[in-house]
Amino acid sequence: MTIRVAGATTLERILLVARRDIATEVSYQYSFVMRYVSILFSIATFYFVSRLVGDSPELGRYSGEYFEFALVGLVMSGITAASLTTFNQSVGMEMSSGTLEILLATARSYTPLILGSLLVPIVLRLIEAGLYVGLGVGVLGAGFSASGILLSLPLIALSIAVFSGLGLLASAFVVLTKRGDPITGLVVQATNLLAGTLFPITLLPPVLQVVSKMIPTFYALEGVRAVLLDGAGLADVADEMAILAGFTIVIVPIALVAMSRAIRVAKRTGILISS
Amino acid sequence: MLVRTAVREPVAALIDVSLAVARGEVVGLVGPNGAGKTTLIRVIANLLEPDDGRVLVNGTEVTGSGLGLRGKLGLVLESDRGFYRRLDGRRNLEFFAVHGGLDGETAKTRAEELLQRFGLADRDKLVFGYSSGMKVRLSLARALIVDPPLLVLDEPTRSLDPVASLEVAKMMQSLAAEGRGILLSDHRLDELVSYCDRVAVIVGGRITYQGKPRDLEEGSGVPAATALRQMMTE
Repeated sequence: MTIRVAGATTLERILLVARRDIATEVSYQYSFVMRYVSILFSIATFYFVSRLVGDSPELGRYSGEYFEFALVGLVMSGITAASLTTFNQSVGMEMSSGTLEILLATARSYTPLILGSLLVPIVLRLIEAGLYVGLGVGVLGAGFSASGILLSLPLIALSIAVFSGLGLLASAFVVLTKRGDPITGLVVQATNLLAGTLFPITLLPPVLQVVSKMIPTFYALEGVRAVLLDGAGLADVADEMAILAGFTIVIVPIALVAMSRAIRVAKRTGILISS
Repeated sequence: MLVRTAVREPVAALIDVSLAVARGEVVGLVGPNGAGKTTLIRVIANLLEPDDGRVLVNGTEVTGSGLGLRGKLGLVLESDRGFYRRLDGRRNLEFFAVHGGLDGETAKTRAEELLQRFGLADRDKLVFGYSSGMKVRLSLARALIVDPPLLVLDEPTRSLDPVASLEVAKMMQSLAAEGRGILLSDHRLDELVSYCDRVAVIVGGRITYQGKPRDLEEGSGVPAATALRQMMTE
C-alpha cells in the first residue's frame, strides 16, 4: 500500500485541533452550559454595583457610567486571561495525558497544534464577550454603539496576540518544570488590579500607576473604552494600537524561541518522560 | 554506539548501545526494571537526546533532527495512555494521521482500515470507556497510521491479561510479515520468546546479549547464560 504523506494543509490541521477541542468541550455538557449561565450573575452584579457607584468623579474622563466601564473591563479581562492561559493549560493536559510525547515524535509540524489550541478557547471567550455586550446593551441599557463594537475588534485582536505570546512563554515554563504554571494566575490577578480593569488607575498610588502603564492590558482597555464609550475612531487610538503591536512584535518571537528551547532542553534532560 | 547519561542524577542510563533492526524482523528488548529499555526507546523516538551516538532509520540519521522522524517510525508508549479520552477511537486516529502528514480524506480511509483490522470499527465510544486491550489495539493502529517501516513499542503488553498478550504477539508477527522492522521492550522474557526473531538483553544500560530467544531462555552458550544470570540478579 502507498500512503500519501505531507498532504494536510496547515489550515486542515488547525481546524482538526479545533474540532478536537469542540468535541472535548461539548462532552462536558454541564460545565459548558454553566459557563454561559454564570455570565448572568456576573453582569447583574456589576449592574447593581454601578447603581451604588453612581457618577464617581474618577470616571470623569470616560463617557458613560460605571456599568459600561466595568463591562469593558470584564470582557477584556476574560479575553486576555484566555489568551494567557490557553497554551499552558493545553501543554499541561497534553503532558499529563501522554499525547505530547506522541505528537513530538510524530507530528509534521508543531505550528498548527499551537495555533489550533488557541482557537476554541478564544472563540468561546468571544462568544462570552458577545453575550456580555448583548445583555449589557439589550437588557441593562449599556450605551455601546455598533460602530464602536466593530472598531474595538482590531484592539481585541492585538490583545489576543500579545497575551498569547505571554501564554506561550509561560507554557515553555510548564514544559521545563513539568508542573502547573504558577505565574499566569498571578499575572491575571495583578492585571485586574493594576491595568484599570474594574476601576480607573487614577485611584492607584502614583508608583503603581507607572507599573500600570507597563501592562499591555492597560492600553487595550484604554483603546476599547475610547471607541466604545467616547465614540473615538481608529486614528484616535493609533497610539494604543501601536503600543500593543510593539508588545506583540517583541513578545511573540521571544516566546517562540523559548518554547523551541524548552522542547530541546526537555529532550536533553528527559523531562518529557512521563512515567 | 549510543550513550545517554541521566541529567538529574549522575547515572549512565545507556552505555555503548548498538542495535540494528532489519525489515521483517521482530526484536525484543528485555531487561529488568530500570535497565534502560524505556530510555533507549525514547532515544530512538527522538524524545531524548543521547550524549553521544546516533540513530538511523531507513538510512537517515534522526538524532536531534527535530522533525526528522515523521513518517519513518510508529510509536507505542505506555499503550494505555496517550489518547484524547473525550474523543472516540476513530477521531483519535484521524487526528494523529493528519498531524502525521496525511490529508483529511486519506486519514479517514486509513483510520477506517486500521479500526477494521484491529477489531475496533464498530466501537464508536469514547476512548475514556475503552478497556486496556482496546487501548493497546488502538495504540498499534495509531502507530501504523502513516504506514511506517519501523515500529517501536515500549512494553505494549504491560497492562494486558495473558489472552490479550497472545493476541498482541500474533499481531507483531503479522506486522513483521508485511516487511516492517519491530523493536519492542518487555521485562518478561517468556513473552518475547514466543514471537521475537531476536532478543537483546539490556542490563545497567548495556546490551549484554543479542541472539535467538530460545538460546537465551535455555541459557545455551556462555554469553546467553551470563546475560540470563545478570538479568535475574539485577
